[in-house]
Amino acid sequence: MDKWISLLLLLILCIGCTTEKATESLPWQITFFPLGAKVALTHQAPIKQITAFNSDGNLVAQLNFPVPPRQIESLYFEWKTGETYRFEATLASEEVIVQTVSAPLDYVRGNFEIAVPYGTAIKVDAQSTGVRNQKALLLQGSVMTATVIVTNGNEPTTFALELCLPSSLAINHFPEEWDAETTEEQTCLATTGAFKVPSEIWYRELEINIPHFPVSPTNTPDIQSISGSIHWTTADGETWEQKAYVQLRIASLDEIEEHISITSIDMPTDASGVADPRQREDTIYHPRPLFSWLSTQQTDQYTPETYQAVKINNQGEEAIHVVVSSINRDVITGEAVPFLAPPDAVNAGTDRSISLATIPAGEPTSVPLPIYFHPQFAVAGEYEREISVKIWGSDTTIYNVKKSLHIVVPNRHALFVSGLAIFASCAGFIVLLRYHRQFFLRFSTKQLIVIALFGTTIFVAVVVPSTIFLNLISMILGPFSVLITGLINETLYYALLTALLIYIYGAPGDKTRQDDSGLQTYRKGGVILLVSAVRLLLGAVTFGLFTPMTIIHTGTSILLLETGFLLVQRRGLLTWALVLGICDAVAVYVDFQLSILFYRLFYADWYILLRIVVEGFAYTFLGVLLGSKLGRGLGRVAD
Amino acid sequence: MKLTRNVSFLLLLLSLSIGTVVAELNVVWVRTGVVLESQDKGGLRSEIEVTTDQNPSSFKAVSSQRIDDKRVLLNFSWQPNTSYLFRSGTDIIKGTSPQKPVPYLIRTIKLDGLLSLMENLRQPAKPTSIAFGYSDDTSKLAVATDRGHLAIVEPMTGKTIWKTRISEGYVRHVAFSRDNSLLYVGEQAADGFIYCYELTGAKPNLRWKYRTADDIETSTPTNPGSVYAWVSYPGQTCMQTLPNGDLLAAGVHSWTQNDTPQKRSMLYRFDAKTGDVTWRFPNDGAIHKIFRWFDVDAEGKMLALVTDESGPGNGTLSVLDVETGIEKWHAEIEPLTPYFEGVTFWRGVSMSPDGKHVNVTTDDGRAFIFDINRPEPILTQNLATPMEVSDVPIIATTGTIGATDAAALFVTGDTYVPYHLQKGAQRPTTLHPNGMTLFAYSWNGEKAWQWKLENMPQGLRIDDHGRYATLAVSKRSQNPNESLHGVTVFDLTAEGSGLAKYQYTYRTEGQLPYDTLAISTDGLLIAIVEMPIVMPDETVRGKNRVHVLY
Repeated sequence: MDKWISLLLLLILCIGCTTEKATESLPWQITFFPLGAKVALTHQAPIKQITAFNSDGNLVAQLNFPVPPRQIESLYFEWKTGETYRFEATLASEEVIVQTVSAPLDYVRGNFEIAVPYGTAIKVDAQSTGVRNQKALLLQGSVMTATVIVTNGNEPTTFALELCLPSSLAINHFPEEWDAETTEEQTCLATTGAFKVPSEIWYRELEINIPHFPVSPTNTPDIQSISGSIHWTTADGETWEQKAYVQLRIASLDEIEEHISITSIDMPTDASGVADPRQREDTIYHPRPLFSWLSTQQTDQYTPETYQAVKINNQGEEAIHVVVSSINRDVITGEAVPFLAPPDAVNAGTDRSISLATIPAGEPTSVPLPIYFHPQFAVAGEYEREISVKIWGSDTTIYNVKKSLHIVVPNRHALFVSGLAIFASCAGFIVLLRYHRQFFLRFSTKQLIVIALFGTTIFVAVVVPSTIFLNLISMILGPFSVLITGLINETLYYALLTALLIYIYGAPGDKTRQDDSGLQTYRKGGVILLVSAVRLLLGAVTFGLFTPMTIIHTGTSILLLETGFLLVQRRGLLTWALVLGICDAVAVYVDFQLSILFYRLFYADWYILLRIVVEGFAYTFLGVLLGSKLGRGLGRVAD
Repeated sequence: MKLTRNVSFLLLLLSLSIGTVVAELNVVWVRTGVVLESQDKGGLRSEIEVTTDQNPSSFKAVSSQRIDDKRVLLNFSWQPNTSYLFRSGTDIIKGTSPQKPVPYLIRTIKLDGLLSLMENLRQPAKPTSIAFGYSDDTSKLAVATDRGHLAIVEPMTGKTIWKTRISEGYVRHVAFSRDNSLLYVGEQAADGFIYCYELTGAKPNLRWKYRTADDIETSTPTNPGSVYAWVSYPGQTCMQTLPNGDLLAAGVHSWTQNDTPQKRSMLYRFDAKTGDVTWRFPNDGAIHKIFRWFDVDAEGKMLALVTDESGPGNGTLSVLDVETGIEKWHAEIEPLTPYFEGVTFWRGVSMSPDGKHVNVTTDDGRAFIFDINRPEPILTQNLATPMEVSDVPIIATTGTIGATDAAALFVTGDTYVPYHLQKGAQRPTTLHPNGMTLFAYSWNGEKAWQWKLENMPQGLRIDDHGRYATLAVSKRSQNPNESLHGVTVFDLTAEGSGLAKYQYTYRTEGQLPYDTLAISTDGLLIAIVEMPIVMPDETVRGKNRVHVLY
């Protein structure tokens, strides 16, 4: 036993002495640049700290990340050429990953770029060598600006720069201090400059006319190139050279149209262009508070309400720089909609959202455009988004696409209809409670028994099967299940109800029975109420169908049917069917509004229409006609 | 068998004790010394001596500041890449200094409850102003919000000294008097009050208040529902205290009346004791222009003020005698045509503490250096003026500015296209070459050094000794690759390039609002306000809190 305890203690000791093993599971790449080292992470890594140590093991830089780091992070420190540095990445799990990297012996000091247009030059790190090649796709007949950018390294230097353009490209404008030398083949510009401090930037711009039908000396009509070289000299006489080369592919509008295409326009999206599938497409939902007039709603006109993402595919070989813009218009007038326009301070009163983007070759790129919304002036309805794509630096539109935009506000109608239904149901219930004795005195015991019997029959024949099979039928037929369930819920129900009404009040248009009888039930209603009450109570006890929604719907239905029946009691069968059909259609409509209000459900218009017309009216109409036959037969049996 | 067991047990005990000793003290190399961290409460003695590894026998006592039971700051200037020995009683700890100091978080102070930020859930309040007390003991830190909430806390402990609500107005500035006995608060609200609180008693008392709306008028915002409605109220664009405790404040009111823009501005010097106005500038009533910003020298003798029309017209730099409020001279700065019809400023002006020089930046990207005695600039530099690409002018913001006796600091920001010149491009494809850069110029106009920032500048503070400059960088962006929020610290006295002066960047989870950072007068403490930011996946990064750092 003691032996095992001793071994256990030794094991604990050994575990305690084990150092944390560094793993190589983190994909990270370290490159040196004049101000330190850049750490490139291929995916969002759970790193909480990166530290760098020199060859003596001394800390030279440390960076803590309270949130996951960016794709490229910079550690700033003075490094020595050829020295080996140890980089440690501490993960959130406390695991430490180590990488040892030697600083380069030879590296590019300073940076030289020719950008056509500005912002498109290829960035290189200090360890890159050789000539920098860039390709640019330009539109015939346009004016482009080339920008020459020189960035100093870590020490004061002077430089001599030379830039050569083919003679077919006309230089509109270049800085005064430059010397120009023109030959048949090319125009060369030269200048000098000096840097006093590290990282200093020198830049100049050249305006170039792109001809309509360019012809280059190499007999390749659409390929042109700009080349440049820079000679650096330090204070102690050290010199070196860098070169840059931009190949210009000059294309017509038709060629560019072949290269790029709009693959999709999604809305709403977030700021990075990611669509939210939970949101309704092409829609801005504006939830106005019910009592907004009581307080002022805080608004921020400078924050976009949502975004739309224009996905552009570039099938060419070069990156294309585009300007994507969108304007929201009224469908009828074609005018820009003020409450959907960016504030003037954001976009100079152009009413457009504009975004500049570089579309890399061979892959679709999402360009998000903000949509502003000023709720104080918003009007619900249908609007139109007009999205256009232009080449950066040209006024020619390549694509113009129109998409719809719906402004949706909460359904106040549902609130009012439901409120009225609730109020009427409550009022009816209070009246019934107050006068319940007088109400029951209207009916004989025999009639009450028959009503109860019919109520039970309706429950067994209508409620039970529809409750049991409703889900099954809905599963099979989806929204069209109402065509089947309606035959039970409406046709059968109204057939039985009509039979009962004929039994109690007499057949439609039969005035003799009413006149002969002294019973007040012939002049006053109540049968539909009692049948519905029996049906409701049995449903509640048996299936638990006793929700506020059911009560309000039943109350509304009773009020409508009783009122309708009271009006047409002495009229013919067709009138009965017509009025009861209309009353039930209204009851179905109220049921929809209750669902919209309480359950925040959205229905397609055609579905609402289908249920109101077919289930509400047509099936009820049919049920009344069928019920009259049954009622007359029942009456004869009773007589 | 027994022997094995006993040896194992002894080895375990030994290893545990060694581990305890090794892990007992952690050495963190900060800007002004070293923080020793103990894992146990009371594990640190108050007297700690330091020496280098080369002179192990010559220990010297250094001043220390206890942070809490487990942490102590040793104030001494250490040399990079040097081994040091720390003696606490009989214990000796060895540590090698790094090439650069590291940021050190002393504590965070939560603001949600302290400043009732969530009082209105639909529109939570935002911290708008922060200031350290003037004394070197840095015992006070004031924070205020856009809903009039104000709190004074002890930065080292986080303990609340006092909190109140002055009004429902937007607190533009808070400032302590030099002896820390008074706190001035300037609001932007219908009345535009300036409050002076006396902090010497057990509980702060309102000593006086002044309604600037009496001079620069009041107004009702045309759209009260806008979150920017406060902009239309009178308020203080700038406030500074003088060595004798008096207050300098620029009251500004910019609003629209019957679709006509209206502007009123007035500069005041208030007597600290009575609140009486010592002088007004202009003396004959409010000027129909905007006083954007002003700065004074360390002794409070000279004042530099920048004024613009907030539209077409020249900008003006005025130099005033602080004692009398009389203008010594002014320089007109003409618009940068054809891109701009007028000159406007953001912060735009700073004065060297010795009062000899003034540096100015205009919103069009130009930088100027003036001698305090002459209206002709020593330097006019196109820092971030428009570069025209395919007829679209690209410019970087300018306006964040600072000064020491040795250098003028200019900070450029994000790149944009002037809105009245946008011909198809709201944002350019890339940054202006000189955008997001800190430039330092010597006062004779020579560029001294520069440093590329990693995000949008959100305010610059320099300590009273002109040694440490703190620059907040942040951007309200949902793009994870743009979400670098933090404060970068430079040692302005370090010899060499920007890399030599760069100390560290302390990062936060959430974004940093503009101008909500502070550095103590001795440069020891830095305080930054963090606010949460919602990311595209609806996660919230950051909290409403103040980070107190070394």
